[in-house]
Amino acid sequence: MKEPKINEPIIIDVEPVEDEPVKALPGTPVVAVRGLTKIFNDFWGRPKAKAVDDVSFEIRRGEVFGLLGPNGSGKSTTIKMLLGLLNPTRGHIEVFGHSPSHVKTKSRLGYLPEESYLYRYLNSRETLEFFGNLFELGPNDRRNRAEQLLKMVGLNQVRSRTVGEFSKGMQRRIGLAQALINDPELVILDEPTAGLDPIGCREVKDLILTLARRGKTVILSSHLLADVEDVCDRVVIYYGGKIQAQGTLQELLSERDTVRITAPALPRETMQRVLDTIRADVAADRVKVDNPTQNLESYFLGVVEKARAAEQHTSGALSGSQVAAYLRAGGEAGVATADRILERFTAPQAPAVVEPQVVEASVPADTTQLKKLDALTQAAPAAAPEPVKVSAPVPVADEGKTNEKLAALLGRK
Amino acid sequence: MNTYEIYEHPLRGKEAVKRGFSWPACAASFAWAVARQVWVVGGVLLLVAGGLVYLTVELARTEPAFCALLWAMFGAITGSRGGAWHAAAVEARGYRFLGLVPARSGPEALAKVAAVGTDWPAEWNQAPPPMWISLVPRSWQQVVAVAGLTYRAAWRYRLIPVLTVLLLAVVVGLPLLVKHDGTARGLTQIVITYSLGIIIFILGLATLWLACGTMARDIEDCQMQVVAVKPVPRWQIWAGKWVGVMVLNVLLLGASGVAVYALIQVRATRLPAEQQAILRNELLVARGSAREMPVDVEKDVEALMKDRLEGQDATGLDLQQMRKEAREMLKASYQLVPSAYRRRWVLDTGLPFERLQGAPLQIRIKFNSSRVHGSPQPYQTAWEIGPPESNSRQRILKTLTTSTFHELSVEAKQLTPDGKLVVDYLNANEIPMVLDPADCMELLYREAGFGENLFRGLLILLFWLGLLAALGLAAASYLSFPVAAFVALTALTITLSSSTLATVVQEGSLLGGNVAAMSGNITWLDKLVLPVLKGLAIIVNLVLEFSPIDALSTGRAVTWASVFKAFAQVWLLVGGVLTVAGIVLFSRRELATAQGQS
Repeated sequence: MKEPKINEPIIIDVEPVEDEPVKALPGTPVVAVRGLTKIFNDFWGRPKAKAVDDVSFEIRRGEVFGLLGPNGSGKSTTIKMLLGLLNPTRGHIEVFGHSPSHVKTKSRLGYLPEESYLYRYLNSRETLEFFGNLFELGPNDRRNRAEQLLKMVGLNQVRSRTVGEFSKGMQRRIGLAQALINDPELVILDEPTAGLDPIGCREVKDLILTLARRGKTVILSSHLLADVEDVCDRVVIYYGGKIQAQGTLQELLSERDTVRITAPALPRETMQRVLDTIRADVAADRVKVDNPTQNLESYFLGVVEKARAAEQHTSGALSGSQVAAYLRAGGEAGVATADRILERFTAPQAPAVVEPQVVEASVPADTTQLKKLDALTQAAPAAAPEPVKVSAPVPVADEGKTNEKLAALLGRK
Repeated sequence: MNTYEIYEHPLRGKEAVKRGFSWPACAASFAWAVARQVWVVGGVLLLVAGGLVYLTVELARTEPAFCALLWAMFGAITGSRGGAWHAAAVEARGYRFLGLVPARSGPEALAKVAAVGTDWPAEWNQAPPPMWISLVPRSWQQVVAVAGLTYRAAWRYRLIPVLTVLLLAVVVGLPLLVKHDGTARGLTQIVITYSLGIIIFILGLATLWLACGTMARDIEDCQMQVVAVKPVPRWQIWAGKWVGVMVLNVLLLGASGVAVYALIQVRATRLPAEQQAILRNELLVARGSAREMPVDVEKDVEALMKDRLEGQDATGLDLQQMRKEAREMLKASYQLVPSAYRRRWVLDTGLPFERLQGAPLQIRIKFNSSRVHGSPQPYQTAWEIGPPESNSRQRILKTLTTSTFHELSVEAKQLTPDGKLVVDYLNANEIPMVLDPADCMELLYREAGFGENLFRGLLILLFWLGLLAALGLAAASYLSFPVAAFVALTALTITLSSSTLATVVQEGSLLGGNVAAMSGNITWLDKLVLPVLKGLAIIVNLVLEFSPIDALSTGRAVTWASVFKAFAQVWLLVGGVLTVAGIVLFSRRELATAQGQS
């Protein structure tokens, strides 16, 4: 078992907790989808596959909206209908109150496709210049934004290399930059972290949160449940072209009959009192005591940050700089520490995902358990403990088994 | 204040590269490139400069303006691209871009960088864009962007360099491989007819291929998805692709035209003096043409029919057949010049005498004998040229062959003050001679120089290429790349088979020709296909009505009227229909499927 560290919080899971009321959706609708159906036909016009089946949802301004589902569940088809790249067989779509094919509306959108669909023979600066031209940006505006975005995604020093020479992660970065060249109000990101290294993933997630804080609406389609969980306000879960579940993460994920208490390591006596108090109301076998570990993402970022501080050379993409000024609230005035991506992810912080080391507390009289309790409490600080945090437990994300988990969640057919 | 790009090498330190026009590159070309260690570009510039020096030595006396124009273009290209070539070479040597610095010189830029360290002022990177960008109207910005993309693709995929080398090899290599007969006409036949013919063939194929590829590949590789979700109407994407392909064509066709012009001028200096005179007066010139006003045969046919039917009951007569016979008879009477008879033509140039004074004039003639010969036969001919009442008419007695075009020089003084020329043919042979009004007599006079004529001819060729670009894009707007290329090439083949098409339409049958048509043996296939072929023949004729290469090689003027007519028929009419069809197909097409592929 891993030795607990000083001041490392421990977690106690107990149950139950009171139900929270479901919040009403704030803001004005940006996307409205009603009864959306898409049937792909074969060469003779006969129905071949029903990719999306009677889907309805609404996305409001400032939301980070997640589309989840296994492969072939209809996420990408839905996105492509929202963008006007596919025509719905039935149903109705409104984006900013207009049809998806409305040309002017497209000036308010940013889109990152699931693959790098960029021109391989253009370099990164030319790519951004090209897309800036399509948005009819003025020459100065276009160049300035391109410079800022290149710095933001860490490709400033490889600006003359063509996109075809880029690694997949670098292509995702330049793809993300082109999606933001017009400072869009609605950003549609299809698998934005696919192919990115952990630093890039973190940067993208931070960027999404920054955009959301500015009141931008973000639609995020991803297989990576951890990504969705970190940034999304609401999600819909697809299976077989239909929406199987939708709502806020709180609504969908909370185990409402369980409570988690997080606190710094406590003295043994205090811990014993807490457990005794809890066991007075809850059966002993329903109380679990553990302490969190630092997750791999945090550890990895720390290692890279140390290497970067030592100025070790890399021929690939650099870590992104701060979010482009025109994407931050209030421009330069908004350059707050919280907006500096690198600073944020290298600063001491609570782990994003906690892998609990579960200690069964069902047999408190057992000496083994008492030793574990000792281990958990022996490093307790002399100072008074910080206020106890209460939070809902967060399920563990496992990227490699995403589809299986979703299938299990939805029930196999 | 200039803008400098700062690059840094891990070992060699920093280097500043100026953005914008480079006067040193403009002035010193390959020497500048060598000094900057831009080796490959320097080698190419050395070759080009060597070629220009050779041309200048050969043509400085006869074509000084042309030589000056070539040097100016060379300087403009090296000056405008010099900075970019330098930057690319610096990066290729392992330097990394750091940023932009406003400064008056490179050392000053480096000093500024050294002064600020890593904390560069943000405004340094806000370099002013190139001047030409501000010249593009905002409403054209998206079309120009897509066009620039297509043009860049052609460069980055090495299409332009490869085509340039191929075309130059044709222009320079073909005349070296195929020896001409030492005459001026033989030279123009090879340098203009063959070379321009092959050039237009290569460019035509490249245009079709590129047009199909740039559209179909973008859709199939899904790049179009990222473009189509931007606020660009699809017709502008389509138009941008077309403009991009045409920019490529303008460059390559222009370079080919310059090469053809330079080559024929250089080769001309090696001809004998007599042939040089023919070349200058009859071939490397734009000669206007005057013909006799066509006779209204139908009017005479009706008069003859009236005479024949007067006082007769027309019931039961085959009037159509009678009219046809009358028409053929009258035509024969116009064509036939019996023995010891004279035929006169009055050719009106429509230009005042002063305009034509001193310029070389020719009559272009062709005749046949009334006897059937298997090959052209020589006959004595006699010609009197000039005002009939004049005592100083020009008389030409010459033995010429039948069924062949001949040109006879005419004294300019034989023209009347209002620009007319009277020509008499006297048949001194014992048999009647046949002179078809359609092509037996034509007066040729200088209208403009060869350079202008070549320019007009290239414009018509460009219209053809524009049509091919529209055809390729229209096909690729709906079809995948291989299918679109196949369809476009098939359409091109049908167009090039215009004579077969015309024969089928004329004979009225796919299978049996006139025999089948006359016997009434028209199959259902004929009934089905012939209307389509007739429509195709009309379209093909609209496109192929012009023959700029033939006109250029024979010294005939490609008139501005024919250029405008070609523009209207080839681009506006036929090209317009293809463009509308292509844009409609592209606008209605779904650009994605669920799997991400189109």
